Parts: sequence; C-alpha cells; structure tokens
Amino acid sequence: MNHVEDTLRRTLENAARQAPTALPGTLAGRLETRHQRRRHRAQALLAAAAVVLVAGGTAVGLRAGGGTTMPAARSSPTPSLSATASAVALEPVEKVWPQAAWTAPVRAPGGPELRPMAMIDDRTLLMSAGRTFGKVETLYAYDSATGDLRRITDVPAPKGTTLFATGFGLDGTRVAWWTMTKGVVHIWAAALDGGRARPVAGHPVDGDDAPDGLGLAGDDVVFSLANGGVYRVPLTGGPVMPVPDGAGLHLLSWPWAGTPGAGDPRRPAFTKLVNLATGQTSTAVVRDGERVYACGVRSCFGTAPDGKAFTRARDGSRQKEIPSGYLVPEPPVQSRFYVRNIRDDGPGIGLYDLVTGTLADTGIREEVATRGEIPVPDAAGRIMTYRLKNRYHVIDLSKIP
Amino acid sequence: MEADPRFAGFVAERGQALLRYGYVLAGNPHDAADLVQEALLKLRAAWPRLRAKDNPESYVRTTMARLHTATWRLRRRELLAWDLPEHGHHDVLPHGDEQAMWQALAGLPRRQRVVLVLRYYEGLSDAEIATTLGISRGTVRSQASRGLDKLRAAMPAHGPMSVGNEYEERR
Repeated sequence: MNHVEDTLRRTLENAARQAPTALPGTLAGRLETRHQRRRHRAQALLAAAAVVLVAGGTAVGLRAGGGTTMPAARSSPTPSLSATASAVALEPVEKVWPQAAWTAPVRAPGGPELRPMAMIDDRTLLMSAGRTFGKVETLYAYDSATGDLRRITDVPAPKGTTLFATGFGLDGTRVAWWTMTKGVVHIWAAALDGGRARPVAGHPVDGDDAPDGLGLAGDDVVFSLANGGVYRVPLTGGPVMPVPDGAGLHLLSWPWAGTPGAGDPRRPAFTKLVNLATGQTSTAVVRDGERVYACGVRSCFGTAPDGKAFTRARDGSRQKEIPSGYLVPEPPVQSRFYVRNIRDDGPGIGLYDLVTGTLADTGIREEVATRGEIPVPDAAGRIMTYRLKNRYHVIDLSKIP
Repeated sequence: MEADPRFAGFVAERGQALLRYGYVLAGNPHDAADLVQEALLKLRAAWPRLRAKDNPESYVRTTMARLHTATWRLRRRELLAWDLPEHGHHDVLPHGDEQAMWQALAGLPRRQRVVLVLRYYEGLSDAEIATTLGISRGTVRSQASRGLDKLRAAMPAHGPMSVGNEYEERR
C-alpha cells in the first residue's frame, strides 16, 4: 500500500465517522411529502399526457389541479372537515368497523420481517417472511381468530436466480408464484396447508421480458408477460400454452386480461378488457376533456374537465366524485375506500368510505405517519394493511357492508 | 407484484450509513445531507418499480455518486435542513496527516474526488466505478491518477513518499 493511498483510505474512514449523526426521525415523512409534491409538479408539466405511475400492479395517477393540492371539494357531498376538523373526534377503525379490523405480527420466529400478502380465507392471512429486502424466504399463514402463525413452506431461490419469488397468486388451497433465471420464467406452486414448494414449469422469454401478472384458474396457473401474451400451465406440470385470444394481453384478474398493461406509463391501464373464458369484451368509457388514469375489472379512476377526481363504473355509470383531503394519489380501493387527512392542521390519516361517507381514524399519527406509513391494499384490493409500532393493522374491506 | 411500503424502514435503517457516505463524497455535512435526501427522493420515486433483485442501497449510493459528479446544484431550497453542527468536522480527525489529507481532498475537482471515494472508501474496482458513474475505465484511471497526484503534492512529505504512478502499475 503506498503512503498516499493508505492515508487517503484512513482519512475517509475516519472522516465518515465524523459525519453528522443526527438524522431527523421525521426524514422519511418529509421525503414522502416532497416526493408527492414533485410528482404533482411533474404531472402538471406533463398535463398534455396522462401520467400513470405503477404501484403494486395497479396503474395509478392523478392530476395536479393547478397546484400541489388535489381536486377541491366545492360540491362535495361529504361533511366538510376543513376549519373545524381539529375539533372533530373521529372514531378509530376498530370501533367503526369492528368486524373488519384486526392485527397481525410483524416478525416471524427467529426474526425475519413478515409482510401481509393476501387473504387465504375469511380469517387467514398469507404472509411472506424474509431477511433481506424483497427476498421472500418463507410463507406463513396467520390465523386472525387464534393468533396462530403457521409455516406453510420455504420459498426456493436456486442458484442463478435473477428475480426472486414474486407475483403470488392463490385460491383457497394452493399458492403459485414465479422466479426468473436468465431468459427463463420459472413457475412454482405449493399447497397452502403445507409441504414443499414444487417447480411447475419453465418458460423461455425474450430479452428482459418477465411476468406482469399471475393467478390461478381452476387447476392451471395463468400468467402474462410484460411484452404481452397470456399463458397457462397445469399446476401439476406440463407444457406452457398460450391462452386462446390472449395474445398481446396482460392479466388483470383471471379471467380478465386486457390492454394497455399496468407497465405502460403513457396510457391508462386496462381500458380494454377481454374475458378469456367467455370472449366477452369491455371498453371503458372515456369522455371528451376528461382524463382516465387507470381501470380495474369494474371501475375506472380519473379526473373530470374541471379537475375533480372521480371513480365510476367502466360503462360510465355511477360516477362518484372523490372529495377533498385526497391524500394518497392512488385510486380508491374497490372504487370505494381511500386514504385521506383527518384534519387540516396536523398529521393524522383516516380511511374514507365513498359509499357511506364514513371516515375512520387509522391511528396513524405523527410518530408513524411521518415515517411514511400509510394503509396499502393487497393485489386483489380486499385488504388494506399498515404498521403501527409492532403490529400490522389489517382492514378486511370485504367485511364492510 | 405487491407494492412495498417499507421505504420509511429503509430510511431509518440505512440513513446514517448513507449520510456517512455523503459526507466523504461531499466533504461537508450540509452537502452530505442534501445528497442523501436527493438520492432518497429518487429512490422513493423508483420504489414502486423496484424489483426483487434490486438493491435499494446500491441504487441510492450510485445515485449519490452520480449526483455529486453531475453539475448538481447544491443546497436545493426545497430540501430539508436539520440542525447540523457548525464546526468543521476535520477539526476532530485524529492525526495531522489525516487533517491535511481531508483539506487536500476539498481542493480536488468533484469527479476526481468521487472516483477516489468510490475506490478507497467504497472499495470498488475501476470497472465498477466506470459503471457507477457511466464513464469509461480509461477516464476512471486518469481521474484517479490525477487526483492521487494532487493529494500527493499537497501532503506534507513524511516517510518514503512514492513517486510516479505506482498504483497504476500495480493494477
């Protein structure tokens, strides 16, 4: 080691130890705020083109209504929460929807972090566990009635794996997912009541193509690729076959597949859908002057020419304005539930039901909210989960009438 | 492909290490704080698209190195400022030669400094540095060599200082 290099290395190491140590606890929350602000500003700049961001397999987006705030609530049918909001004492989620709210653990035995994934049945939550970011190592079933956490299976990552297990799809008894090695998609499956994970099939793909959707259809695994095309393979193994009429399409939720896929940043996702079981098609209504950002099987989300955000059925009926306090720029879950501020003058996050006009307090306050914690839906939009201290809070939206 | 809401956890867990890295990259706590924040904002924007194989920390570190070499305006007004000690941190570096080195580093052009930090603090190979900064390997070598020459010239001579470009010969 020559002297200058040695001194340089030592200097850098010691200097690093002298770096400021006071990282503010509020940093993540402040970054979150700035991130949203930038997103709004970027969208204002790109006002001519719909800007769609992809989150969790759902294309989402919003328009900055002439500034950094979301569409105003001028003719909002919901109670105004401005001005006097701080005086309104909201009921917590657990009181408003006691049948729907419960908690789950955040760590598996031995310490790996658990993450909520999807409901297996009315009371059982599928959770993944892993020690490093994004790597699922084990699947667990958490029984919300008994508090029992049951190991389902280990999730293999054979040598050469370039993308770890993701895209989990399940029915009541089985779960499937995919991994990738170079140029090959690997489909895996396991029984939810336990046992080894089995390789189902391998499917070669071009370039860096990879699955963008996966689900179960009877005794088959169905999946689609980011470059388009829906395929199916029996859970017991066998050849991977293209699904008739599925060419170029992206799986939304079997039997529905469509275009554009959620990965297309310029066009609203899934405005065109095909039912691959019956051949039925659906094209979402988009009226002049409005912008639709994303569609699901039943509904679309967009902004009207006056800048107000709305959700409505694909055929254009049952349009509902999304009122003020729109906090998180994502489509309402099930076209119905969205995250909003509970007060104007301080932190606090509520869950708002567009159908009944009910607003419930999630309990997310400064300590947690400023760390960026918000309720997030699962891929199917059935549950929303968020973490408070050392528990996940789960809201099973299917239990809210 | 479920969204990952754990951005805050990442910031809480890795923020301090990133700040240390920002400090050796930039040389002062204010720019270090700005670099970290700017890179974390970019990570936040990319977060929903991060794939399982992506390593968020390496993403942020690469972003920080690139930001610092680009004509990036420091002290962006929208970034969060927090209480930072006002005294010069190099004051408390233990050895005299480290203080001299720290001051000499401050005199280097940014790109040279970043190349040296990646090589001697991050321990990257020249090929990895080339990828990180999006420059050729030849540029990495020449920037490192020029930077080392300047440091060598600025350091008080004690002990048998090497002359010429010994590092390049060994590599």
